[in-house]
Amino acid sequence: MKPLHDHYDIIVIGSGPAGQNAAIAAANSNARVVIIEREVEVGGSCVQYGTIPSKTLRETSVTLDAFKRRSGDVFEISRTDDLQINSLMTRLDQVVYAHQQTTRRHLDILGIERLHGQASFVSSHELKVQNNFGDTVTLRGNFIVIATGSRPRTPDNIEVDHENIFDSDSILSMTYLPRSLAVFGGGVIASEYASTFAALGVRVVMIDRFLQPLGFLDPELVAGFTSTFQRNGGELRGSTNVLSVEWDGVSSVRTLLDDGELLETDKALVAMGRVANIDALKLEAASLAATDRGLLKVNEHFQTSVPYIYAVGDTIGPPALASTSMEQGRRAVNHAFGFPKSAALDVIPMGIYTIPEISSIGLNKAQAIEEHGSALVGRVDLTDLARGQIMAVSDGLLKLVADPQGSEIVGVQIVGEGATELIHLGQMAMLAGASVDVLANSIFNFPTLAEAYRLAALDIVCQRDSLTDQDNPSRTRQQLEAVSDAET
Amino acid sequence: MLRTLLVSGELELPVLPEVSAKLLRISNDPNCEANALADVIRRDPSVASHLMRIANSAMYSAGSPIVSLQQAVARLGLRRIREIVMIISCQNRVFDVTGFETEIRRSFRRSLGAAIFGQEIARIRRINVEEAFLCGLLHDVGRPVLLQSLVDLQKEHETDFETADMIAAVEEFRVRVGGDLIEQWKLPSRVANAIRCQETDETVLGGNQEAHVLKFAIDLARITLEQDDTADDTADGGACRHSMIPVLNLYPDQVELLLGKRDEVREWVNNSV
Repeated sequence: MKPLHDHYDIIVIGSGPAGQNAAIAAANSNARVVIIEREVEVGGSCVQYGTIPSKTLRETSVTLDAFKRRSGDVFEISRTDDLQINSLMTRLDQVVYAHQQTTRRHLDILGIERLHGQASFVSSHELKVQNNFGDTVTLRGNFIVIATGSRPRTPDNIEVDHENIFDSDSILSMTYLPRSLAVFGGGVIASEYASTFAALGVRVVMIDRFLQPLGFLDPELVAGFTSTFQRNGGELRGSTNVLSVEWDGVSSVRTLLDDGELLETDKALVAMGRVANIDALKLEAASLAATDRGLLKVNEHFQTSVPYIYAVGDTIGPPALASTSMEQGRRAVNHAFGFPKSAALDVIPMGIYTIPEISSIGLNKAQAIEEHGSALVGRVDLTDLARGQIMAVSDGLLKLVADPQGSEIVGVQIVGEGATELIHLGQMAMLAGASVDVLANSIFNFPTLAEAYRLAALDIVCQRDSLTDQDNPSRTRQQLEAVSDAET
Repeated sequence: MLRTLLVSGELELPVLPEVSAKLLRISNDPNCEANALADVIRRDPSVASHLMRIANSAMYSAGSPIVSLQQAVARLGLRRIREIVMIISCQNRVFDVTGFETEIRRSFRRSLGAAIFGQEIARIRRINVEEAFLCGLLHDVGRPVLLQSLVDLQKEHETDFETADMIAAVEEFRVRVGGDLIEQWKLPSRVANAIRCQETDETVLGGNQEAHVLKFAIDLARITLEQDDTADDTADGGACRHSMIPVLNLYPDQVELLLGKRDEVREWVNNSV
């Protein structure tokens, strides 16, 4: 471990989505940049334990689920009791390797230096980097970006042993698929893993203190997720607290619930939030301090209380999504170098990789009413679409949210297969300032799920017409759809 | 002769006398708690390997391999595990290796230590803990099997091999035989690969994480269990500069955490063998 220089324009700590993008933005400005990464490879926990591995397993699960639905009764899909997880993720090493190689190549092309080790502050401009044997080097930076990510939070009453009781960093180290799995939590990670394992035939019990999972989302989207989850054999235990969790020393994890039930499962997953990876940074040496929630406080430019130290990604808390973190990284660097902002942060989509997928952008109905006084919402059930039928979509809904005049698109929410891809059409419409009428009058490929946008827009047009012409009976969306089809 | 034995696949792994007695007691006690049964399986390489072998046999396996002790216990159920333990206690030989008892015990102790350190390293690195434990527990099965076989050969042929020659032969073949046995017993291929690679140079190990964990775990067990009683416990025996540390990407605080387990490991091993 020997850096090429001892002084850099910008030092980025962490090479996950936020750190990479901060470094790339800085290097594009010809700055001298170094990324310090604790792991051997670039990418952060996103590549090692998080997004990439979990989505690889999920992809297999989705494929099996879709094949089951689409093949009708022609093929029977079954699995053995002792199916090995590794066999479901045979592509994982290739996927991770390819991702790491691509990232490395990008960083190398831009001349971004990489330093492997654990960083800690010596002063607000100086960082000490320790290697595996404890040897250290000290670097100075004009600007420092903290992008060290997060790790799973472990509640005080649960001992995660990574053998029988896992967290989201260790769950995929299981070599065989358990017969049953208790999932503690109701957030994004809990819901993603719960639905993936349920679709693979594992008996999943999801336990959360709130009545419904994913409580921050539009309830109709959540309903789409829970109905598929339950159809796949998943069980929801809302408004339930976990009193204790222990391995019985033989073959089961025993979970005592506050309603007195003792639940026995092969394995358990604790997915009850995440905490920022900032403890090893020795923040006090830079005159920084964590908040009560263990996060770093930043202003709208992602500056900490020390103006030349920025914090981005999971270290500053919600939304803690890879897509948002990337933009935060770019924005922090742009601010440091006095460049204009890039894309607007409020039109960044949120993707949740449950089965089925959920994606959202902009405002939902409740938020739109709060902001605009009222809102018009166009709704389309994806099972009503020809493509939805062909794909044997079981649950799916697209909601297009418009301002009270039914003109401006202020948000899109989707639950259903392909939601995380489908959302981008809505994102582009919003970024381009396209009106509801543009979508209503557009011609899409047939049959596609994207058609839902046109039908949802027509639904809004229909509602708008009935509001503006109270004397005439309003036409239904189906009538408008027929007229629109005839015109095109 | 040794080569013939290797090829014949007739090598067997006896159990320690006290373990045999314990197994008999447990399997005959209808009130014996499941915990005690599971514990005895975890504490002995012979019992563990027999259980895994039987669990993966055509009679008990449903097709897919059983890859860990816990999975074996969970899948087979206590009634069958009790049956298997009874079979092991009744049918298995007890070690009869006059002159090599210390070798056998040292091997078993180091295996237990490697199992515990393996699982602790795996916990830190978020690698499969059950598999790391099994790798440690079975990494040296080749040694006792070979020693017993050589002693048996001596008796059969009424000859005396030189002790040094026997030890040298065992040392030469133990890793290969261990790997072959694991494969014959239909244990996970990753366990067999890790066991075969325990003496391979790290530069050619590639991404074999189980082997990386095992190499470090074996040395931590050796440092912990075989250092002189009078040695300063704060001395790390070279563990802090171990070649597997950067390969496993462990940092000094994590290595310290592992070394802090030494007393616990010693106690566990002493209570087992």
